Amino acid sequence: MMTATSEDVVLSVRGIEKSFGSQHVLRGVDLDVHRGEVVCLIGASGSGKTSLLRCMNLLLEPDQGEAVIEGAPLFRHTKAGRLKLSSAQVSAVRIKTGMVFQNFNLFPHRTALENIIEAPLVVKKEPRAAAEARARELLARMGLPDAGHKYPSQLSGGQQQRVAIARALAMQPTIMLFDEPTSALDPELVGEVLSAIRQLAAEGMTMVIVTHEIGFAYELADRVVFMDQGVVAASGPPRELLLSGTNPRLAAFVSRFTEQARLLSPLVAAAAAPSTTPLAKGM
Amino acid sequence: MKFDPSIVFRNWDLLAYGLLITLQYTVYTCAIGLVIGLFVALLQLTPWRPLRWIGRIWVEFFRNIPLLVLLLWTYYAMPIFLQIQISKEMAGILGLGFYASGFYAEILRAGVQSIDRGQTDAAMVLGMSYIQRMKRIILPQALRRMVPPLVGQTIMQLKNTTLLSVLTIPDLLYQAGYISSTTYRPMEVYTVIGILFVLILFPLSALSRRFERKEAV
Ligand SMILES: Nc1ncnc2c1ncn2[C@@H]1O[C@H](COP(=O)(O)OP(=O)(O)O)[C@@H](O)[C@H]1O
Ligand SMILES: [Mg+2]
Repeated sequence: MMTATSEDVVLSVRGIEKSFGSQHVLRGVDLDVHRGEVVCLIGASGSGKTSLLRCMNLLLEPDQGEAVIEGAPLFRHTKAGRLKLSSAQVSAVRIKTGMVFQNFNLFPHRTALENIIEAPLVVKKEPRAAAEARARELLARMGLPDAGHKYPSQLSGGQQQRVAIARALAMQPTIMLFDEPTSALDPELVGEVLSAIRQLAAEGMTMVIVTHEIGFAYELADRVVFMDQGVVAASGPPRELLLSGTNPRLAAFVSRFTEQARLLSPLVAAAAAPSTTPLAKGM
Repeated sequence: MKFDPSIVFRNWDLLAYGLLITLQYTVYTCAIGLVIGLFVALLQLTPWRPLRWIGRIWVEFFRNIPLLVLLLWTYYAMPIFLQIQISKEMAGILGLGFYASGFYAEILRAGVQSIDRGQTDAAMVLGMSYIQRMKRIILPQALRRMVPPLVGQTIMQLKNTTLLSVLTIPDLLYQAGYISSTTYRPMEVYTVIGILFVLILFPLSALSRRFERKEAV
């Protein structure tokens, strides 16, 4: 692979290695994310998806490798040497990424609106009026125009996750990182969060999404990356990658989902029959 | 012998003075304990191992030394080691204050560490510095959880001031001893003193309980 100097590479990681004790969790991962691209990271649990995502904005410090965001180096520890950055310098690069967590991680002592304006006020020193105006706009975009004064505990999981997305967007990131954004949600709340993410994709947001929603990845991703035992085992456009079956471990991983879909297909057919609207491909 | 508490109340001025001293020392030593305790807790929470060790050693030292030994050491031994003069009042305040700092530090550290790691993650990705995270995200949440144990420790601290009487600081218990030896009525004196302590501290612990119930909701 070439080194990441190309202008439209938003985020690039190279040779990322990470161990926890004797457990070698990431074994030399390379990944480039291009502007406007939606990359879905899939793989069995424990394959290192979360670790990789956290290495991308240095929430987790790799043992070795390199991470660059929009041309700005965030981490480098290679044979050639080690880059030393102050925590303020790391922060300045890191805030180009917005991150959404599996457990939302909203600040429970702050209302939805306060959650969203916190960093614009404190980190970017924006005037309060401007920050609040944008926060309201973001809440409306997330379909929560009336949630501003509510505390996280007063919101459903799906609503909390949408507030968390709004909070990340308020810092105007160039790339959004999602770590299983719907895994902690009740099934009936998954849809609202997925459609919020879908909307971001339509607006051209660059995104890396760790997900177990294979159908969602198939529909939305420009590229699917399959992680297995700490390496990128396969990567490519969703249709080719998910249907090719060249990698047996990937085929086995996907077959678990298709098997479930096959079992559900009579229900889908029954539900679709009376209606004339064509259903989205490939769920 | 008839139980006659009025004998004690005839010396109410001595008792009032003792109570004042007790409260005064409680306030001073709690303030010192909290300030040092906060500092030591922050040491224990830094990513730098040597600083964490210093915090840890401080806490373990003052949590494990018996208070009576600490007070006597501060008054009689420390001045010789350091070649300084120290009044019994200063020795009392330093001994009790340092002692409290070990316990307060533990409460503050545990409170901060009880906050979900995800809160720090979220604040970090939003670009907040260590101080901003602590001040705006972690401490406000942790403080609510810390109130009941902090109140509990403060109650202990008031009770612990009774040990100041070994340094002949005229706290409530010292005054009781004095009244008892002049009136020969230890039965009344110590009964009244005991009840007095309970009456002073009961409202505090009741308040803390109510706060705890509210937090649990
Ligand atoms: N902070 C940590 N300390 C120790 N082990 C960890 C830590 N984080 C992750 N691991 C381990 O690393 C492996 C990969 O974890 P993770 O990156 O979370 O995988 P995934 O997100 O694909 O499920 C797992 O076996 C997990 O137990
Ligand atoms: Mg994970």
